[in-house]
Amino acid sequence: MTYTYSIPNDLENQPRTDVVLRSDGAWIPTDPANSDYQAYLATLAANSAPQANSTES
Amino acid sequence: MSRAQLTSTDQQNSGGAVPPVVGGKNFIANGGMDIFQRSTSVTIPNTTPGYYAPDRFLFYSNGGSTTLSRVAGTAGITYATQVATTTGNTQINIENRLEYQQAQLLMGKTVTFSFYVNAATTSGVSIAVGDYYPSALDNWASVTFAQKGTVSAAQLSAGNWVRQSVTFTADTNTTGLGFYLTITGLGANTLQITGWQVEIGNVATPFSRAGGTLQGELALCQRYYEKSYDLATAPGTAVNSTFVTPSATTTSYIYGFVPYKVTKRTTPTVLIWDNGGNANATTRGLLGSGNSNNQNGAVDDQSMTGFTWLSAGSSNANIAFIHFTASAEL
Repeated sequence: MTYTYSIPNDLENQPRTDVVLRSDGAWIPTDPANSDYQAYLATLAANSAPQANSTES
Repeated sequence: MSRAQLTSTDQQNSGGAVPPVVGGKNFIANGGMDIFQRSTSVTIPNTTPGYYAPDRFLFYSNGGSTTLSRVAGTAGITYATQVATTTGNTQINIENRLEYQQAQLLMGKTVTFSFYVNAATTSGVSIAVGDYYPSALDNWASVTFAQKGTVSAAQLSAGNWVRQSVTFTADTNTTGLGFYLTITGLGANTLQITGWQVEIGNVATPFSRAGGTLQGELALCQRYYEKSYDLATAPGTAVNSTFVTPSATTTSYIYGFVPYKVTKRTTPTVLIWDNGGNANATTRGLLGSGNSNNQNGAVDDQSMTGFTWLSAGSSNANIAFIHFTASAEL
């Protein structure tokens, strides 16, 4: 299963630093102990950069 | 006089003469497969390890199509998981991971890993038994498997439950420890499994829930995964939520808070749904005027104890609903 990731914006339309949004709708906290965040970092390390910003809501 | 003084060296190493059924003896949370929060019947993707059916158990399938389902257990254990494989299957892995903080109690010790298994057809089936560990602290992106024993086809009984056990010295590391079965030779077959137990000592004692009780077992599972739905309802099902936030009537944001029933291992990943089963959405309502599904939603602040969320829509509302799952799995 391959996911893509994006960085959502906050209510001030600024990129959030506390969360990554996965393509299945999962809100992944930027917590080094979170296994989904670890997978995201592994994806980044494999040179898959996040997509362009998206609005939060 | 302490218990250690009363027992022999062997008994101290093996945990001593503990009662056969006692919480904490078994290091495998949900070993009796009492809890299926995600699904009781699911076809799993090929070569994609994940938590699909019984809580705390990770499944991996290689080749063919594999379905997991909850079935009747054995020996007083209510449930088991059935793995139904199809032609072309070359491998099934069933794994259970422990946090390092918990696994330390086992490292370097003599442990006995026992389980019940029932294979419809036994010819050619082989089960590798062992422990495994991650390359970094509680980070299982990369793992090392260490086989400790084998259950051969001759040790199985076609269509019947048998209990198998392997005793070995658990690996020592500074990252974590898990236990696994690798099943090969299934092809098109069904195999049922339950009653996982890992305990200190060289004897497979009677099965005992890690959490001691059903509620204890559920709480152990909820340290890693929790949902807003009833236990028997799969996430994403169209059903009204009781996680509701009242608000002054507004066309703008409604802000809600969800406290977890159990504090999580770490800040979890959150998914949300509305009452209609739409992903990443909320339901907004105006009391006396009905509800609207598929309204925008977002998860805001997150912690190990809960999260806040936003509902946005253009029509007047004074109430908003969400469903959620929160996963802090290893």
